[in-house]
Formats: sequence, structure tokens, C-alpha cells
Amino acid sequence: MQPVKLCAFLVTIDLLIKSEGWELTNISTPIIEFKNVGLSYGDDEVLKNIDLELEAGKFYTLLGPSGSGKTTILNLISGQLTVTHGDILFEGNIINDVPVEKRHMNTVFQDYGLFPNMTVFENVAFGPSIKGMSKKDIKTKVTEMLTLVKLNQYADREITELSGGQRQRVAIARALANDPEVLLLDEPLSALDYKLRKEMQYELREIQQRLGITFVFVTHDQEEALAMSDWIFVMNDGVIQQNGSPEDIYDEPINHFVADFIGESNILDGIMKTDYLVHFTGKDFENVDAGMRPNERVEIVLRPEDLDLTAIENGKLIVTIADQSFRGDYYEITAIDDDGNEWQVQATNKSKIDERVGLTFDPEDIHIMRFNESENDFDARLESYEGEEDAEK
Amino acid sequence: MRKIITSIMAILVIILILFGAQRYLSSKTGTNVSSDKVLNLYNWGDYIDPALLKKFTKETGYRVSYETFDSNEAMYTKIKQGGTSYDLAVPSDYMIQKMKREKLLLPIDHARLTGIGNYDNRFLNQSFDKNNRYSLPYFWGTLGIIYNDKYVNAKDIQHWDDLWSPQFKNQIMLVDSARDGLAIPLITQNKSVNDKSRADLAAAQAKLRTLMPNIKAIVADEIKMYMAQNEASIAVTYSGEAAEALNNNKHLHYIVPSEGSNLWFDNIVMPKTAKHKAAAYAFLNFISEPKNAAQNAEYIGYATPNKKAVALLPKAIRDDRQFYPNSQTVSHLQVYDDLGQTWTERYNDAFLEFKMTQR
Amino acid sequence: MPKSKKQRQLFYLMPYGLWLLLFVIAPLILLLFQSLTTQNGQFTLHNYALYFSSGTYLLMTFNSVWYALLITIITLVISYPTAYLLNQLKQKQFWLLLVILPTWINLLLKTYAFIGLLSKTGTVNNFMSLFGIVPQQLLFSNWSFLLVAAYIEIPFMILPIFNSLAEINPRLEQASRDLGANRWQTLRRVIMPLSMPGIKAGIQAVFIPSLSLFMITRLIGGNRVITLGTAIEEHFLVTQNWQLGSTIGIILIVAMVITMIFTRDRKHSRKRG
Repeated sequence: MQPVKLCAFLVTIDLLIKSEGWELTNISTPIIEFKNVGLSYGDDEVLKNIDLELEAGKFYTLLGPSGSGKTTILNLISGQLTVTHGDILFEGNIINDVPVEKRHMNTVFQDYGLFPNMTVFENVAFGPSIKGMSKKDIKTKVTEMLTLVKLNQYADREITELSGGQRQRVAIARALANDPEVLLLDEPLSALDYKLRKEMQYELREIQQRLGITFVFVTHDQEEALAMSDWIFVMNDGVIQQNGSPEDIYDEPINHFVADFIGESNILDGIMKTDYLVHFTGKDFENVDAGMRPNERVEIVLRPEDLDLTAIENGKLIVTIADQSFRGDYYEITAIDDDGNEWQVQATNKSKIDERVGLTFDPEDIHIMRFNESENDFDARLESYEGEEDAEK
Repeated sequence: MRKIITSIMAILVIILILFGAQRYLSSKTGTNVSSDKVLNLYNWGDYIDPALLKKFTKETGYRVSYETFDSNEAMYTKIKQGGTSYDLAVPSDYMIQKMKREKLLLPIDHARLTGIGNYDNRFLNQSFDKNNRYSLPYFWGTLGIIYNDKYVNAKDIQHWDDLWSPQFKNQIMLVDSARDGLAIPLITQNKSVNDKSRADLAAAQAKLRTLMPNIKAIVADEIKMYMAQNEASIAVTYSGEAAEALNNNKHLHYIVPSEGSNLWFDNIVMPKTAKHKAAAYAFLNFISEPKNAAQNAEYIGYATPNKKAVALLPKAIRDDRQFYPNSQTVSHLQVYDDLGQTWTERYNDAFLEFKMTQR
Repeated sequence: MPKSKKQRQLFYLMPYGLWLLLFVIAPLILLLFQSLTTQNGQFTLHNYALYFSSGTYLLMTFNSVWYALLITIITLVISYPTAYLLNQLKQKQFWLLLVILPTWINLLLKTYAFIGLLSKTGTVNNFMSLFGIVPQQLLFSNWSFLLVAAYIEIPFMILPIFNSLAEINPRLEQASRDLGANRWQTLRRVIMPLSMPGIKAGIQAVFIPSLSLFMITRLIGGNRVITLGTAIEEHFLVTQNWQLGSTIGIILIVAMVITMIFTRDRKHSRKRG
């Protein structure tokens, strides 16, 4: 089957599944599963009781700052590290003690890890030749992989003759040449310049969709994660803070860390007086959240792009423009309200410094975060009142 | 190409400069002390009682600058190449002959010698220096056999031919020297140790080859250490080395086969580089004094050619037939001549080929 | 101070260049010159003719190469795994120091130490006698010679291999395992090829000096092993035929150059056709 046709076919299936409202989880066991996995070096707990499930054929991202444990998870999956407690399952079987070379997954390393003593061809052929493939099959395979990453003209080059971006592609081709069921990518784009990184993000996504295998992508770049992933795990301090689709994560951050780490946020303290009524900056605002105790202390998130500047009389709050900078398609404005809170606003029009203006936002743009709410509780609460809303409608 | 030529030119220029510098240095007095009240003595390492040097300075006022060498050839090269001003040196027999032939020595004026009468006539007027025109004997010795009485009966090892006895399989250490190695078969075949016949040399080599099964190792100065440690039961080496080995192991004995062996000499000569002749003659006379010669012989442990000195030695040394063999044995001893370049190489090649015989 | 960059570079190269000229190139030319003259200073090829027509010297040459080869193989076989393991250790610099330590000791001292170990009344035989084994003749055999020569050369083999292994990015081993290669395949196909420069440097550092070993051939080998080093020593010290000694020296140098050519680091050796 031609790759392009395969791609189209997969997309069709994908659409079909989505339109029918099927859940992939319902029809297959997870390809990778962590059950209460922990990893410690002496007293240093690097990972704490991780549970996760990865479905076949999706693009997953482990997102977090350095030291958050995201690469540790990747190394546990690949087998470079062994768990201190808990189980790792592959297609339902425990693989805790399966050595690296026996796992059906391959890794694209941050520094590529290409063999400098081999040509591009030999690098890509390494896996297949270890498997004992015939010379002819190897050649076919390598050619196919190099074509996939658009390097078929470079087969005979030495690694040292390649640019960073080309090395990146060789690393991808080499990992894919082994026909892995899961491809692990450890911050593979971090060494590339901005433009090349954008290009590779697009290509990686395309390759993943064309091949239909599972990608687990590690990054600290939230923009990258949002752009590429089907599903994101946000990590901090060895714990998964939140997981969900890029939209969920962005729109409904579960806590201060996630809200702060993903995108720009204005985070304020407030009180949830009753359902759908929140109090902050000395005023009450209507909102769309519910399910909390009356007068519960909460944090409020307002994204800069959801805020608008308007005439004073139309503003929900009155602010003074403190600073502004031009960002191409918008102005990034810093404004101070009368309580002294600082607001980041993305505005389409230029403002004047020290001008007093109104600040406005929609009720549905106010996002409420409870303190120490677990992900499960969070999901349950969201479901309870969103279900109500649907019913009301 | 031009670069290569330039660098080759540079190299040639440097070589020329080096040659020139060497010539210039040779013409100068060199590095030795050259003030008048001094004696530049060039000798083997640890080959004189240091107390005698002090005594000499005290008696004569000449300060001694003592430099050492560890082989005749090294000494020869240094004197021949110049740049030195040694007043006296102590080469061995064949080397004296060679240096004499190459006019590297100054004749000794016997009128200025006071102690020549103290020497034993048997050790004067040797073939390498007739009438002692160029040298005075310093020490003498022999080539012989050390054996260990823990492993070998004295009666089993009295003659060179006994070395070939099958009972000594892999037990003999041979000194690593072409002249000495080949002297053994030459003597057993009634030939001169200075034989210059190709057939005789080939026969000697062939006979030596048949000794190979009995040979454990062919080593040099280390023989004395190995013998003292009981590593081998028999060794062929010089009397001087033997004396040291015997000192360290009371089971060791040294014999000089009565049918003959090598007689070697270390004589004092005056190289043509000598600058302080008065000092040199003073030393020759000083060391010829029986008392001084005896003190030196006792300290070094080698046999002195000074017969009045021998009389002064303790009886145990004087009568030790191992190192002062009887007259009959001495009369059978042969001194090595300088064989000349061609024959020196033939002897060495013959010995080298012998060493490479498969064991 | 010279102005242009090139001039400055030349200026900095001067001391080393002079050193090279005076103590390497000039002596080499003198050696070559001497090997091509008679003792009276006339030009001749006689020395070379003599060398190549003499069964003794050819056999000696063969011996030299053969024993140097054996010493090199023995040290390589011991050194590679050692260097590999050293690299995995936590305190590797410390362990490496222990390996290098013996090179600080004078060669003659080490040789005498071995005489003390291997002699009939030496440590090894004393130890064996505890188990009722009668003293064995350990010195003066090919084996004792190889043992001591290998012992002396091992640090010079371990060091370059260790360095080349240490330079290998540990990621490559990870990558190889990740691509399905087991430990042995990883060693064979990734680590060994990448440490080849170290292996070659080690071979050079061991094979070349081993060609002209002479002292331990006598002290430990009891002259059972005769190499070209022995012949050179003899011609310079005993027969004083410096011309022939120089000839053998030149032949040794040629052998060394050949070794260097065979073991040089070829960066872009292969191109796929």
C-alpha cells in the first residue's frame, strides 16, 4: 500500500471512529500501562506512584520542566531504567525485567546518539541488520525510511557531514527502521532553531499519523506539546499533575502549576460564594463553575487573550496601563487594577501608558481552581455540573 | 618542493654546525678540571679504594678527579673522540693493544718509575704491551668456573670438558661474551684463544653448540647475583665476578682449569690526552707501592700483580688458589690479543649464531 | 612580535621544530649516512647486502617481529577488557592511576623485581613450596620473557584504549541496546570500532618498542630470545662496527614506519560504491 493512501485510509478510519463516538479504550487493551510505578535513588524519590495508560496509535506528550520526571518515565518505558516499585505493562504483559533490546520500542535521543563510525545508511541499517534481515531487505527498509524522512539522497554521507536537522532525521529513520510499536522521543527538537523546530513538529506529526504507531514525546516546551499531541501528561515533582487533550489542559488547568506552566495566565485568589458566583478583586462575578463548598477559597485563572480593554464605563474592572510591547499580531499589555493586581492582556489596539481603561471578560472565561483537588475529583466535578448544563439545555 | 629543499639545506647546515662545534670542543681542553695540581683518572666504577685517593692527595698534593666507564669500548670511544683530558686510564689487555696501534697512548718513561721492581715478572712484558712501554699492570684475573657444592661434586667439575657432562643438563650459566665463550672450546681443542683460522673457529663454534643443552642462560654481570641465589649450579665467568659471588654464598667455589684459561689484565695507561704528566707519574709510583697495592687488592678483592704487595696480604687471601693459582696453572693461561676488526666481528658473529641455536 | 597569523604560527613552532631537527631528523640522517659508508667513510651498500644475505640477521629479524607480535597480542588481549572494565568503575581515575603507577618505576628495577619473583628461591617458588611443589625453573624461558615484556608494556596499551573508550558517548551504547543489540553485539559493532584509534595507538606504543627490546632478553630470557636490539647493542658496544649497527637501526626504523602506516588512523577510509 502506498504511504499516502495508507494515510488517507487511517484518517478515514479515525474520522469514522470519532463520528461514531467510539472510544478506542473500549476496543483494545492499552499498549503501555504504568501501575503505581515509583522510582527512587536512595531517599531521592524521582517518580511517585505513577499510573498511566497509553493507547496504541496516538501521539502522547510528557510535558514538564527539567527534573519533573518526564524523561525518567521515557527511560522506564524503553527499559534504560528499572522501576523501584510498581509494574510496567506492554500490551497487557508485565515487562519490568525485559532488557532494552527485547522491547518493541525505539528511541530518538535528544543528542541523536548516531554512530559516528557509520554512514547514514549504516546507521539506519543497524537495527535491521542486528535482527538478521537479508541484505536486500535491509536495503529496501533503509531506503523506505530515508525516503520517509526525506534524506534518500544522503545515504552515503558520513554523520559528521550532516547538519543538525539532518542528523535529527537520521535518528528518526534509524529508530523507525526497527518497526517499533512505540516510538519514544526524548526532547528531539530542543537543539534545533525555531524555524526548523516548527517544520519538524509538523513532519513528526505527519509521520506518526502515516505510520499509525504510538509516539511518546518528551518536551519542556508547552507550545510544542499543544501543537503536536493527542494527549498531554503535565509532570512536576515526579507526579503527573494533569493529563488530557491539549484543549482541556489549556482551558481547564487543574492547579496553579499547570495554569502557570501552560500558556500565559493571570492567577488571582478568590472565594467561590455559591455555584456560578465567584468573588475576587473585591467584586462578585458570574461564572460557569460549580460543585464547590460555599465560600470555598479558590484560585481564579484568566487567560490574557480572553481579556479585552474597553471604555471605563463598560469595564468589569478599571485598570491603569503600565507597560506595553508590540508582538506582531497583538500588543502585550501590563495593567494594574485598583487593588494593585497585575494583569497581562493581549489587545489588538495600541494603548497609552498611564491611561485608565476598563477591563472586561466573559463569564465562561473565568476558570476556577480548587486547592489540592485531585485529577479524579476534578474530572468528576466537571462532569457533574457540565452534565447538568447539558440537561438544562 | 622548495620547502623540502629548504628544510634539507637547513638540516645539512645544522649537521655541519654540529660537526664544527664538536671539532672546536675537541681542540679545547674540554670539561675536565685542568688546573695544575690535579689528576684526571678514568677508571672502572668502584675500582679503587677511595681511602687511597685521599691518601694520594695528602701525600702529593694532587687532587684526583675520578671518572668512571663501564666498558672498554665506551672508554675507547670517549678517548678517541677527544674533548677529554684524562691523565690515566685503566683499559683491559686487548684494548691496550688496540689503543696502542691507533696511537692513543703515550709511552711511559721507565726512568721516572720508582716501583716497577715490585711487580711479579710473570705479569710484565705481556704480548699486548711488550716491555710495558705503555702500561703498568693494575689487577689481573682469570676466566674460570663457579660451582655450587650443594649441587655439584668438586671432582665432577675440574676441567672445561666436564661442562659437557650430561649430568649438568640445563644447569650452566655462560658469560655473555664472544671471546670468553669461544675460548672454552678453543682451549679444549688445544688451540690458541687468539686463533685466526676460519676452520678452527668453525670447529670451536660447532663444539660450543653441543654445549647448548647444558646451558641454562647466557647472561652478563648478573651471574654473580644468580649464583649467590642458587639459581644455577655452575657458571663460567671471570675471577672478579666470582670473588663477589663467593662472598655472598659459602657454597660457591671457583676453579681455573689446569689445562689453561684466559689471563686478563687491567693495566694503567697514559692516554694521549694526558695534560698532567707529573701527576700521572706520581700516581703510578704511588699505586706501585706494596702497601698501597695491598690495601687496594684487599678492598677490591681482585688479584694484584704486585708481588711485594701479595706478601703483605693476609695469608687466607695470599694462599687462596682460587684467585692466586699455582705457577703451573698460571703458565697455561693465555692473554687475549686484539683480533682486529675483521676477526673481532667473526668471533662475535660466531658467538651470536651460537646463541641463536635452538634449545 | 611577528605580525600575520601564519608568521605567528611559525614562530610558535620554532622550538619544537628545532628540537625535531636537532634530535630526531639530524640523528636519523647521520644514522642513514653511517649505514651507507664503510669504516673508512666510503660510500657502500655492503652493510645492507651483508644484512640481507645473512641467515643469522634475517632469523633475528624474524624473531624480533614474532616476539613483538606475541607481546602485542598478549597485552591487547589483557588490556582491552581491563580498559573496558576500568571505564565502568566509579573511581576510574584512581584505578587507572594504579595501572599507570608501574611506569613510574625504572625498567631495570622492575626487571630485577621479576628476577626476585621468578628465581628458584623467589617468591613464586616459595609460595608453591607451601603446597609441596618443588621449585620450578621459571626464569630463562620464552614464557618468562613474554610475561615480563607484557607486564612492562601493558600500561602503554591500556592507557590509549582507556582514553578512546572514555571518549565514546555513553549514549551510543544506549542507542545500540535500544536498537536491539545485546551487550556483546554492542561491544562488537559500536564500542570496538569506535575505540579502534585507541587500539591502534596501543599497538604502536607496544609493538614498536618491543621490536628492539634487548635488556630483558638477557636478564629474564637468558639470551634464549635474541632480537635485533641485541645485535645493535653488540655492534655499537662490542665489535664497534657502528656502520652495521646503523644499518640494523635503519631497518628497525623502516619496520616501525611500516607499523605506523598499517595502524594509522584512517578517518574516511570507506566510501560505499
